[in-house]
Amino acid sequence: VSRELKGHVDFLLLAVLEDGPTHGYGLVDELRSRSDGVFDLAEGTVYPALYRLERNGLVESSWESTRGARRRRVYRLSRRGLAELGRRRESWRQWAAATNAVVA
Amino acid sequence: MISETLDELARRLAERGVRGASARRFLDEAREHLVDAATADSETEAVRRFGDLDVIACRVATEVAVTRGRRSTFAAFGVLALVGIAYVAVLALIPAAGGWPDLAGGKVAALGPVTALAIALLPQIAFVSGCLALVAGARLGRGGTTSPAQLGLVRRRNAVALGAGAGTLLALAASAANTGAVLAGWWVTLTILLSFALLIPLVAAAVAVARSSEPRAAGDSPAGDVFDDLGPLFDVRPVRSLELPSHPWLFALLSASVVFVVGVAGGWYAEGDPGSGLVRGAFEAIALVTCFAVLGRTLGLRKARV
Repeated sequence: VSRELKGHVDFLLLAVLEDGPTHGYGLVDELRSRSDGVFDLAEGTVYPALYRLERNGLVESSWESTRGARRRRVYRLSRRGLAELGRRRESWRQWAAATNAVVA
Repeated sequence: MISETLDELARRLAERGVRGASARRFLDEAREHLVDAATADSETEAVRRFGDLDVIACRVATEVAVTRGRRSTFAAFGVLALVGIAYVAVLALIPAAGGWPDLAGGKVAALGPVTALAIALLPQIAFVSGCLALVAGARLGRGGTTSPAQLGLVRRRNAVALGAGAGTLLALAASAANTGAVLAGWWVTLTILLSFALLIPLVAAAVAVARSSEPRAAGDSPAGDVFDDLGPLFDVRPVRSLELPSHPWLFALLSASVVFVVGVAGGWYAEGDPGSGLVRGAFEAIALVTCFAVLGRTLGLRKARV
């Protein structure tokens, strides 16, 4: 699963961010929770993926103070990221339907 | 334990050339992440779940390298665009400053042909290299991994473009100083000031390009060549049948033929004389083939010898 997950990390992160802004730990936690623990990636690798998405204009980020002195880098989906998520979701649905039709 | 992990992470990032603001940002995020994870679980488990520090440092270095590679390419292209505008403006003002001087009409007769050749040739090298760098730079980080070879190609193209841009400016300044007695003083002053003023951002862009080599990306993808950069153009049916990627010299000769025809037409139109057009077309075609031979591998116009 982890090898297959590597090729889809960007798509999955965009999908999690669709529900609202969050920090890196929140993203990993949500990913694990939504997949019932199947998507259990090395947590530190989420940051380079987020940097890539940010560089490509798909997410935006800023430091935000939470709970007193704690500062966290919070990521949010950009308008371009939302459009990209829609494209990838459609493509994924077609691929999944076709794969199911063949292997199910 | 979190503190030791962060120290180790900082060391591994530094080993991969990630320092300063890029390293600080990631380390700050990693600290917050580990603190959150340790709150939900133990520190040991938080560190374990964070992953292999070497793999993480390697991926961060690759992303930082791509970001710097792209930024420095855009900066270099922007500065070269300014140089191009200044170049066109300075040449366009020559008629108003007294008209085109004779090639050997300057203070130092031998300098005239040399600067004229540089003024004609170097901007074209800068333009082609800059465009190739821009295309390859924009492709960095899109679709899969980015390798040191791909980043190196972008840097080489930028370096050639900036070097040719600097050569153009120096040739313009030298030419202005040499023809000072023939052309109006205001043109000479303007050209020399503009040339040296533009050298400053050009050097800054060169520093940014050089610094983009600090973060060490991982990966073993080949650097690619111009056929990868302009893939769709070579996929059009009549062009595809020529199999140009397998025959780069055929590509060079076809390009030289096109340049020859455009040069003849342009020279004929500008000078009103077909003979001048032929000379210009031949010069441009020979220059292109020569540059292809000399800079072909450096610029990724053909694949490097394996």
